Amino acid sequence: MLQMYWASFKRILLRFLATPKWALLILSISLMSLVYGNGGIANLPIAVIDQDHTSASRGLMRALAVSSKITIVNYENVDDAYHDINQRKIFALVIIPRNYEERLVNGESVVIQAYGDASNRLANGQIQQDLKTIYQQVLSDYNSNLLRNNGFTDEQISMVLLPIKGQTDPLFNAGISLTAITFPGLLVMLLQHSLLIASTRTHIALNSLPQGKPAKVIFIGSLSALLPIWLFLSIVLFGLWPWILGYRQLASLPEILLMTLPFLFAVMGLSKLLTECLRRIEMIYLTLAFITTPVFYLSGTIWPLDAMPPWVQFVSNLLPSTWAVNMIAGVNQMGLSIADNGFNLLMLIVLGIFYFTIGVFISALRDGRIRKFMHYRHLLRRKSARRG
Amino acid sequence: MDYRLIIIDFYRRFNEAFNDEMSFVFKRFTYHWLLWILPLAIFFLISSIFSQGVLFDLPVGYVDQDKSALSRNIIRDLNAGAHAELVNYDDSLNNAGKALAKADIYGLLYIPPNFEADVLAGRQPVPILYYNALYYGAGMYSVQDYSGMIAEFNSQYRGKIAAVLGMSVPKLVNATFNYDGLFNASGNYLYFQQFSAMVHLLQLFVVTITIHILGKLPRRTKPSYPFVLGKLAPYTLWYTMLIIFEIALLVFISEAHVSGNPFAMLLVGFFYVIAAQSIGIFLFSYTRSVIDAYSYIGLLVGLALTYSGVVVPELSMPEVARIISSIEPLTYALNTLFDLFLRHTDIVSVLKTCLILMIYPIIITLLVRKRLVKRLKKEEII
Repeated sequence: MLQMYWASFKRILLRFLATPKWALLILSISLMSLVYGNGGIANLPIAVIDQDHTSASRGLMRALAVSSKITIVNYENVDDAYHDINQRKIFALVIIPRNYEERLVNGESVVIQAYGDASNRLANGQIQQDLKTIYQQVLSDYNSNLLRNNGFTDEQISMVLLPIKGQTDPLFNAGISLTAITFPGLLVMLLQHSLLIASTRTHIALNSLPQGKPAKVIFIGSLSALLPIWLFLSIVLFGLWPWILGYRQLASLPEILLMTLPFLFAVMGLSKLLTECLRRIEMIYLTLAFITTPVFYLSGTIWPLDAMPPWVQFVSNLLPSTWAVNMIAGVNQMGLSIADNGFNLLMLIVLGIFYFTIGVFISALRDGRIRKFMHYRHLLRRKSARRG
Repeated sequence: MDYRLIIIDFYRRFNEAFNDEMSFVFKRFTYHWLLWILPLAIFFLISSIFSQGVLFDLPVGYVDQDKSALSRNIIRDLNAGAHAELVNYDDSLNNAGKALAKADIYGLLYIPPNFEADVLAGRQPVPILYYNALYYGAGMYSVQDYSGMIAEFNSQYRGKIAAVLGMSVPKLVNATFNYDGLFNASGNYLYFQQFSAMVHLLQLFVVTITIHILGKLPRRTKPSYPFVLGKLAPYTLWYTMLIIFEIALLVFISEAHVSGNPFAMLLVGFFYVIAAQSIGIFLFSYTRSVIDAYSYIGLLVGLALTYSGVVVPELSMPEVARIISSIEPLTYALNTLFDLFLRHTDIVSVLKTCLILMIYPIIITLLVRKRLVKRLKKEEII
């Protein structure tokens, strides 16, 4: 028995190592990572239309130019800037109105109007925050000078201008890196997707051997041969990749393996169910290839689960990746312990068992084993009734 | 050479292949699956995911260690704002921190002890609103009302503090910074996330069905241009109509206003489908089996989405990434279709996009013209 297990384990493992299609995953992620070479939003061209041409307006432009997220481009009129934002040559435009300095000095109301390309929400949100923070600083400097000229000391100025020093503090992602926002969810989804395909393919190949279905121990040996490869991939993706791309990575190697193992178990359970539903290798590709994007959206990293309708939340909770993203990002990026993720671990194991059980049931139903069992029970009942 | 005869012969063979394909296009489940069941199921799933459109009332925890009238006012006002719904964590900062890391809440307001007394004494206490910047979309929205609200409180208390100091506050600068979004003023996620997913997935479906169709051709087939074109043409038309139908559905569901010409969308959609079909032909020609070809689709189309500017704007990409982005058909099609949907574009840029998209079939035809013939004669290796 053990020999059969070991032989099938070795055969499949060596086959996967000899034709490393799974390495396409690393190639794919490497190419995807190129986009994030700058870490996040950097040097986005922003048009500034200075209609005032005074020292105050130039001071504001200098202050804006300090931000690493943006690069200031001077425009003479709004129409040209609007044309270029529409053509995607610039990302936002800021209009410093006529009489800006005069109105500031006289304490009259003045509005600095800015427009950003809101079609890209993540980038637009960051630029909005950045510009607002810079502008608040400029205003604070200006008001400080006003108060100083009215006899306030520096300490008094600070007290009067900011009786409450309200702060917003971004956690778990210093400097707001787009890589850190996208990758934890993306990597879990890709790991799930690649294992789902490999495992379902192995399952179907074993089911359709010319000599008939092999013994259960060969199934177990063949499928468990996938584990070392996908555990290796999880170390690369969750341990090495954050280091390469420069975002937070906190979990130790044993913690990564401890989190990945139940996740892989749940995915393999799901693959058992899919095997029974799809039954043809081609159908794996004609189905699974299309659901990666929705699965990524369903994980809750880009769009919160709370904002989805209940039935979508239910579907999301049926996916191993949803629980795995919450757990792996929680431990690896946000400093939670494994003990804090007991429920996530439990859910992954429950999902694995649930899918596997349904898969076995469907398989038995298709093979006629359920019918045979019911028939046998019926015979037994009749027999005992006759005896009675 | 009589060109008229060549054209007639081309048309005859194209027509034969087209009619032959049309005769069994909806006779198999796989075709139904790829042509409408799965595309529409995914469309409805994604539109349900983003159905709320804009993020409101996101759960934000608070730990109020002052419990004064001022701290309660701050909590009440933040809760009254559109974006945050406050959840009390009593004095347990540890529990609230864990809830933030587990994404049970997206922000956490901490008000320190003696907060009101410190404000009135001019000791400038610091209430902090932490937010989850890893779940950035939700985190960023949950804190949107905070800075404006604190500025309001500061202007209320400024006079009182100055009075304590025995001074009067001169007229301060009265300037505001207004930041508005162009092309998607409401910030509706449906418009960009679903739109880009739709256009992206269409490419995936077209590439897959092209490989599937070519893989199903009998090995004795004598391939020729009109034959291959005729076999693929029904799907060119179908998927062009499908993308227009999905855009129309999106417009109908979200009650959006289309700023461009819908017929121009049809034109771009048509050339986009052709470009995707040529990628399918390329993959089929250079792989040993349809299964091999399918396994490269994910890589190819995943990259297309990454480089299309949906997550990282092209203007922020490194130079190498911009070059890759500029050779992806999805980038052009997505940008132009989005321009026609919500931005402003003219017929010249629509035609320019169509011409760029036509480069793909031309180059790929040159690349595969011999290879495809050989590949079609080969038996499938699975």
